[in-house]
Amino acid sequence: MRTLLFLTVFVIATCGLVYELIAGTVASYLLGDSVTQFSLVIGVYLFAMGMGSLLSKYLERDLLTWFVRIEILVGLVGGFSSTLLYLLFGSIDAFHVLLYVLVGITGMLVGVELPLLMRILKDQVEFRSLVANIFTFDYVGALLASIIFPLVLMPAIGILRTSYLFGILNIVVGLILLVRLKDQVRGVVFLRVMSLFCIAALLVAFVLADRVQRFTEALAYSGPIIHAESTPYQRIVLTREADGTRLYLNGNLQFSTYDEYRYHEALVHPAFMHRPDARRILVLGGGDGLAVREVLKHKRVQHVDLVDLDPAMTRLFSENDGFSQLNEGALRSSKVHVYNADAFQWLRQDTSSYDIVLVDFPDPNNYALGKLYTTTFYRTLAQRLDPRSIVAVQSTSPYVAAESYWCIHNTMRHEGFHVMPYHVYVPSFGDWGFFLASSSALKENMTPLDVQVRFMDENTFADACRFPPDMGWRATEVNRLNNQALVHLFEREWDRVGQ
Amino acid sequence: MNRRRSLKLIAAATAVPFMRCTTREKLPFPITMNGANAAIGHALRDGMLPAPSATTERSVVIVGAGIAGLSAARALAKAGLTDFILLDLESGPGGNSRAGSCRQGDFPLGAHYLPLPDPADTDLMDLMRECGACVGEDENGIPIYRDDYLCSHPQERLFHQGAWRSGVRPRAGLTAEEAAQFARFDAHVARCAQARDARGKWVFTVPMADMSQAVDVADRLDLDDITFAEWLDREGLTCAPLRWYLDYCCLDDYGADAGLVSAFAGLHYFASRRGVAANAEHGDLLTWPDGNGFLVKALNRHAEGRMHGGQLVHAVRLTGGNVAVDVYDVVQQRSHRFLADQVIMAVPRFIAGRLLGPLADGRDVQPHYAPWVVVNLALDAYPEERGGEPMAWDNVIHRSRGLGYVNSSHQVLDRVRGPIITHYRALATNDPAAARRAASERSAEDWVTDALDELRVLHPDIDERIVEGSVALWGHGMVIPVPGEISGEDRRRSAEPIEDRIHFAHSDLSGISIFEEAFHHGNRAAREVLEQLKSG
Repeated sequence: MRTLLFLTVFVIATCGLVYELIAGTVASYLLGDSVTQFSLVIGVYLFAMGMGSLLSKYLERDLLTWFVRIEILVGLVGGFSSTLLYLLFGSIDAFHVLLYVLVGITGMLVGVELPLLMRILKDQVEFRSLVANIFTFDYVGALLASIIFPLVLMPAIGILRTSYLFGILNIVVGLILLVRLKDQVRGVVFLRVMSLFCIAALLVAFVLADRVQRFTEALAYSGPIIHAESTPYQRIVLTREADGTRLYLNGNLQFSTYDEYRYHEALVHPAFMHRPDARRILVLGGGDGLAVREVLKHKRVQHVDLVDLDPAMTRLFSENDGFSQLNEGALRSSKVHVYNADAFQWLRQDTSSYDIVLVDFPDPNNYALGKLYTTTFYRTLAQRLDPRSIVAVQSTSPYVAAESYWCIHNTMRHEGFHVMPYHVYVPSFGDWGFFLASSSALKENMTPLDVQVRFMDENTFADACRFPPDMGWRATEVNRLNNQALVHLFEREWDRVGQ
Repeated sequence: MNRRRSLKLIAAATAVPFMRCTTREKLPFPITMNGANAAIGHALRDGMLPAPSATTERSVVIVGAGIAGLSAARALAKAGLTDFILLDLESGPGGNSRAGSCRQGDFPLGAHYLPLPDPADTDLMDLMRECGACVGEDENGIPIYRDDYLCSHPQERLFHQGAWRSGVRPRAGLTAEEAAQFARFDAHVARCAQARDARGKWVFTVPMADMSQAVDVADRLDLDDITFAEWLDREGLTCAPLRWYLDYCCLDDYGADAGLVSAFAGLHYFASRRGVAANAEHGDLLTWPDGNGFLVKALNRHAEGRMHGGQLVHAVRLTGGNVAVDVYDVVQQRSHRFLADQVIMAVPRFIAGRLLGPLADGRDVQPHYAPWVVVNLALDAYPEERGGEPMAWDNVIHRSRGLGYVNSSHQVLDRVRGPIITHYRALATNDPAAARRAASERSAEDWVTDALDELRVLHPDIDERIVEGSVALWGHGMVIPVPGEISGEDRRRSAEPIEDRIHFAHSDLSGISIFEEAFHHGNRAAREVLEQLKSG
């Protein structure tokens, strides 16, 4: 009997610390800044335990019954809180509140456990050895938890299964006491059914953890999420990695601050090499403002129109201090005019013409995006150009998706553009392709840039225009609204490499 | 007019604004009621309209501003004739090709697409160039169409065996025998599509006026004597997937299934299309966010200022070398008489017969009509999907009561937050008149509820997505080409002019309700009129 109760102390102590570690891990994973998160979670948790201890004195009778009830509750709350946090992250505004409420409830319940046990055992064990033994088991349990959590549990079964497992352990302890000491407990049948039911629920969750995980998108990203929001158009997620910040739209990587300069210099500067006197620039897509940052390096530029469908994107990258640092405040420049509109609609309603148009749409992985690579789109675009205007188009990977890449080329050619293909290596993306296009022939020799670049100078561009045979031109269908040939090619080619 | 009659009439007239007002009952979004103006139209059937109080002379009066009437008006205007007037009971032109609109955009109330025209149909090709749909020809003379008027990809999908699959033909899990039946049916269609008479005329073609009239063409007469279902049985084409598909196609084009339409009509659907485009595949089609409302606008440009809505024509008579057209003005509530040299009756046969009274002389034999219900729903976001192919233009549900829905925002180039979807249902039974009576007793809410029952299976969250709805009920939606309709004497008779003064134009005269036929009859009637005016 005494041994059983001391073993109980050991198990609940281990469980208690595991919940604390899980909460700290989830918080720092989802919110970033692990020092702050761990510190706050531990603080709130310990404080709540204190409150639990305080509350325990109001439990006067049926101590064992209360203990079993609390075990069931701790198992349930502790077992499912990480799931709840992952599921609701991104869909609720007051995520911090939810986090600390869950941590508080768990801590409070855990805090009731030990005082209650001491009172249950106080008539069976001499007070001196009771206190000594209880705290010994408590601290040993805590040591065990803090060793196995990072070294065994996290790598072997992951955070969700760890939570479920310890939830089950908690309830099993209650159940064993229930069976062994049933004459001292009230409402045995109800508690037994409840604990079996909760164990079953946790077991199901344990078995289906992979599916739960698929719903909890946060686990899909390699680094901690620092911003996430759903807009009517897309899901915007920013994560922090060891090497910098990454932006994902609908789960597709858009940039990593580590090497985005390569991509954006390649998109922007070759057009200026062909049109160094450009003053009026249109950027389609690219709500992150990184292309505009490169554009503004050209001092002759007087006017930049940025058209991005999603107001949430442009707001994030112009108003948020942290994120607008990435584009050096480009979207706040007085030369830059931000419009949240559909690109098609903008091109049709606008009447001005541009010297350079930078087309920076996401890859054509669905029909809505596929429309922005069709003959109809390029024809509409042509109406905003004069004969000397230059268009630069980001065009997926000519290595992974050679047919998609050349389909874009062939589509622009079909609409009468002179097209110059080029490609560069961007570590985050791989070998990445672009096109320069103009309604007049593009010159081979271009004007050297008078801006500071890290990557795309004249020599880099000359190399970028050379294509090895495995990325060379292919005959493809022309991408039209009524065949969406590009989306089909794109899906096939990227599926092959298991994107 | 006695007091009781005029009271009934006022009741009918006031029913119009009431029917069109926004209703708000059980469903949490506003619903507008559209469609044919049955309340006023029935005043004609019940014969309670006042005698005309004034008279105006016009060279030509066109009764009915549907596609046939508008086409006739366009042909007259293009020939330089300006002294014509176009009268319609509805406030706007277009008949069942009209469009509705809401805050989110335009949508079709009925007809919503045009198959690629046959380049040999010179009148239609002329309209295609005029409205900007046809933008040129390639080096082989094949027409090039505006890309955003061609139905965007993906065109069709079918909800079958729990998932959306591309195309409307059921393809999942066919047995070898079923696949063979599909292939045999295709072979029949290919043979029919190639069939010509000794003079080289097609046996199956659109418009029907151009088709072979030779009686010696082996299959033809026989094919119009039996139902499509009987013919399919005879050919051993009996498997369930094929028969469901063919029933669907007949319902879609004729408002009635293979058991009602003739074998000729059933095969005509597949074998008559010769449309080609340099930038589209055979079998592609032209469509617009407002459906054939786009074509209505194009035609109506020629009738601008000459089309008068709210005009219920209630009698057409010959009087001393002229034609008297008596019209009841729904708004001003009085009748007026137009004396015309020439009249084009661009109305369905069931109405033409009533207006002509004793003049009808065999032209008042009514064909069968299928009632239709079209429910438009504007959504605030794309609804949740059940898996498989993404939303297409035409979204068909295997073995469902309705014909599925069209995404009317499919052709909109701008990314829309939520689409307007147009749900179609033909109320086809063996007794269309009874179906029509039953339909007239149901409310807009009832029709939306029916459509939602079907849509909810496909899009579980559709109820939360709906911003507003619109219902169009077409009691006489389209003529049904039952056996004998196309080859019969009634159809031919109803197109015969009366004393070279009253001419007829409507798709009813072809026995199938499609744009090309209405357009053809409008042009033909206009040519008859111009001929008479020139010789007179």
